[in-house]
Amino acid sequence: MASLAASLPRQPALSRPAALALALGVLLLLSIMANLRLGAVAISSADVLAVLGGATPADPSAELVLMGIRGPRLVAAMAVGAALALAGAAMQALFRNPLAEPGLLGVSTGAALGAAGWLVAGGSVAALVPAVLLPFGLPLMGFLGAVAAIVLVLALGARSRGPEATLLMLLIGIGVNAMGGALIGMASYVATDTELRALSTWMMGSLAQVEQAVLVPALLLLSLAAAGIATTARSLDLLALGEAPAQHLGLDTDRLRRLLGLMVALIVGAAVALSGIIGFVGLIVPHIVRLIAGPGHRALLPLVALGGAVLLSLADLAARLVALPAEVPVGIVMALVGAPAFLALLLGRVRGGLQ
Amino acid sequence: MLTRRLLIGSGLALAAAPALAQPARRVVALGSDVAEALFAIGAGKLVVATDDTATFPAAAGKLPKLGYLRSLAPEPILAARPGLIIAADGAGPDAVLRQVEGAGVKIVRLPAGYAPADVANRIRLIGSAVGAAPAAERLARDVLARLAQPLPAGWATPRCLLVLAQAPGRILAAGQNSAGDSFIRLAGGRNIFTADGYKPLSAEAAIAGAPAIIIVPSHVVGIAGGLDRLKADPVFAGTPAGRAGRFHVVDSQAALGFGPRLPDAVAAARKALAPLAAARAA
Amino acid sequence: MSLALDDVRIARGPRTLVEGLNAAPPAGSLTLIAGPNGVGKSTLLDALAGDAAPAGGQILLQGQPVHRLPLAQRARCRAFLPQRVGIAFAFPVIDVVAMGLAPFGLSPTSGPGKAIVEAAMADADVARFAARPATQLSGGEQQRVHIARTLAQVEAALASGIRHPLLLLDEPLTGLDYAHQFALMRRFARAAGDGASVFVSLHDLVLGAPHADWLLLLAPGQPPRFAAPAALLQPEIIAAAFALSPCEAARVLAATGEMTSRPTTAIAAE
Repeated sequence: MASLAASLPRQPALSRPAALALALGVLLLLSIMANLRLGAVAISSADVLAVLGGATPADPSAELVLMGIRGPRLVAAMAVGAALALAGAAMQALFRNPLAEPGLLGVSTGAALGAAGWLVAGGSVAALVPAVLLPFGLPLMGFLGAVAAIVLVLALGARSRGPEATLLMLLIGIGVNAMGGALIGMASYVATDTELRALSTWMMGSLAQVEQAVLVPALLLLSLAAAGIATTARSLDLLALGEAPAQHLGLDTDRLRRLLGLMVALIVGAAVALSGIIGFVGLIVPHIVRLIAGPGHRALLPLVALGGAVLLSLADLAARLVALPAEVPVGIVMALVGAPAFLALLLGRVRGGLQ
Repeated sequence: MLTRRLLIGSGLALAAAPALAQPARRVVALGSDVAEALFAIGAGKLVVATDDTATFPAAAGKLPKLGYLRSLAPEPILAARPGLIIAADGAGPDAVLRQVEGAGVKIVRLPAGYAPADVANRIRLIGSAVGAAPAAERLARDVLARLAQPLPAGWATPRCLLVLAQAPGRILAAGQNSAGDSFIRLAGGRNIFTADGYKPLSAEAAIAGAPAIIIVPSHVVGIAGGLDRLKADPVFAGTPAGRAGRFHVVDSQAALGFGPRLPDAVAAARKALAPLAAARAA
Repeated sequence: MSLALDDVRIARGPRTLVEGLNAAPPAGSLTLIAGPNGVGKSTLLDALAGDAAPAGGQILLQGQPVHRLPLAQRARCRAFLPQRVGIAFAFPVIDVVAMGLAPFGLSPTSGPGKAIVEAAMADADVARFAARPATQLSGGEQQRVHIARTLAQVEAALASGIRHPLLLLDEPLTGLDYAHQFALMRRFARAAGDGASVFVSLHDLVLGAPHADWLLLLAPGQPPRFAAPAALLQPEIIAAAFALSPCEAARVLAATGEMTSRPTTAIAAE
């Protein structure tokens, strides 16, 4: 997993990727314990350990809260965080820019538009849908919106090849973002007060609405797409040379671009199905991990997944606790953390000389 | 053991998971009208927590708050250990309420509706949920009777507008299918704003509608930056109400919550409209 | 089997740059592509690399048009260093060089792959930067890193049993200092000696001529010429191709002549 540089003499005992993996692993364990232990419902550490260990806790409600509410929510936070970070890493490799992030292709806006459609017009559809399927309405529409956006982007750019195709993809993504934004604005205008509130809450991103029924299919999709990205590690390295040189080394960059676009859309679609729109994870985590552990994707991708899981689970912890009994949408927490971090990264690049 | 745990976790074993279902001595009220009705029928002592909007009566205002009605979180609700949740329409998000139900708490979801019959229906449902059906029936009949009072003979329906404000200078008006619209009609007025729901009000629409009086919910006054500032808003400048300064402030929750206090607000509004209804006949 | 150019026409957009180009240098030789700026050297190299089909005629590698070969196969029998290659992220130099092994599935950490990478770094004199991020190097040093990568790709091809891989280099020596320029020209010639078919486009005849087995001279408005260097390094030909005065052409030739006047001793000494 470590780069070749680790095989050179005079290297420290623990390579930087390994050290980072260790640190993130510890942080993840701490985050898991904290997320299970803390919350509006008081649960003692003993009860947490009891439930995890399979024994009966002193407070019987602890089991319900841990297994039914906090547990699924934590799993969703880690999975969404890891997947969004992986999608961000893929985007940064594809566009050869450490400031790229999953929303560039318009998939997040597409997802939001799908959600807006359901929230605003779904009321009439909801009457026709059997009650047991209702929980799937919003996540499904969000997911379909993301997929529709990437299909549009890929279709519009289908006939071009090579480096122009990537640039075209970026520009089409900007167009899709603009168009989607306008349509969401329209939906907001015709929405009733309740619908509008639901839409803006959803767009701020929150893990409070994670339901088990949606969690399992979403986790499957996230794992599938994450694995898809993981297989491209070596190819992502080659992309850093530029598309033409990567092609000279035998990499089919057109196929890789389509594959990455699709994987990113699946990830964003499944993530918004669970949590609405959460930004900045896909931007910050890969960027920082790369600064610490180097750009080689065989190490970067697993570290980025780990880092994303840590970041979002900690952010969700803050979201749940900071303003009790209300919850701050976790997307807001990420924005409050992410925006200054993004500016700091930008300034660092400007001072270090933009490459 | 693991299977049972997974079933509990997935909420499929509602009947087998009594752990969080306390007896209905502990009621959570979601919605200002719900809290008001519970206190009005003498069941106030059962309420252990409410959402942020439940501020009347004072005793309800003092109860622990669980967050904004439309964006609640599951754990704060469960931390209140409710045996029963009575939720007005619009409480949510739906997924959160489903999670709470999955943890074994019964939720009574009240239907929406702005007709007097709907108000009465909700009061009856609330009453039967907490075992106070007779008191609820009495309250429901009383509310219906007061709302059914006919308008005086020769009442000439004044042109009305009910406004909300998102910010100073950003005025919305209540259009069709809104609580504001129903309130205007109950008060004996005619809503001159024909859009659907709450929509931004333009000066031209205001002038074309020529309202004789503008009804302002109390919470809007603060958002708009004060009553004087609201009255001076240019959007009203060309209207009869604006020129004469005829603005009637109503208690927001009483008028728009469509709970037990609705008849009070309607009566007050009719009094404010009466001079206009008579003057036009003259 | 090597590269064969059959009545090739090179164009940029609507403008024809070169036409009627016939050349079939034997395998294991070094062909120097020379000519003034804008004459089409880079466009020709792009076509030789298979990035684009030539505007007319055919460029055949192993009997097939180069641009039709599947990407993976092409990468195994052709190494190409275009002008101005960069690296977007801070990969250590050794990792960048190891990317040259990608088409062959050779591991860079052990066995023949490792030896190839180390040799390539030594040849380009970047071994001392092995662990340093390539983005921190100067322009010339980064150029040498990419040359090393390309050399590694050719060596890996030879090690994988490809007898006559193509080595294409577009102005590889730009920005390098003298010592490296001379050393790397010798290295390219050595690749030819090992069996590769080398095509190098250079501004500077002085550097390239001593090592060239063949010279492909392109000049604006003139038919392309492909022959042994001695035949083309004549005053009138050079003056016409590069729009030089007789005096200037003579100076250029004198410089190359100086080099070629001691062919056996100078080159044999390396």
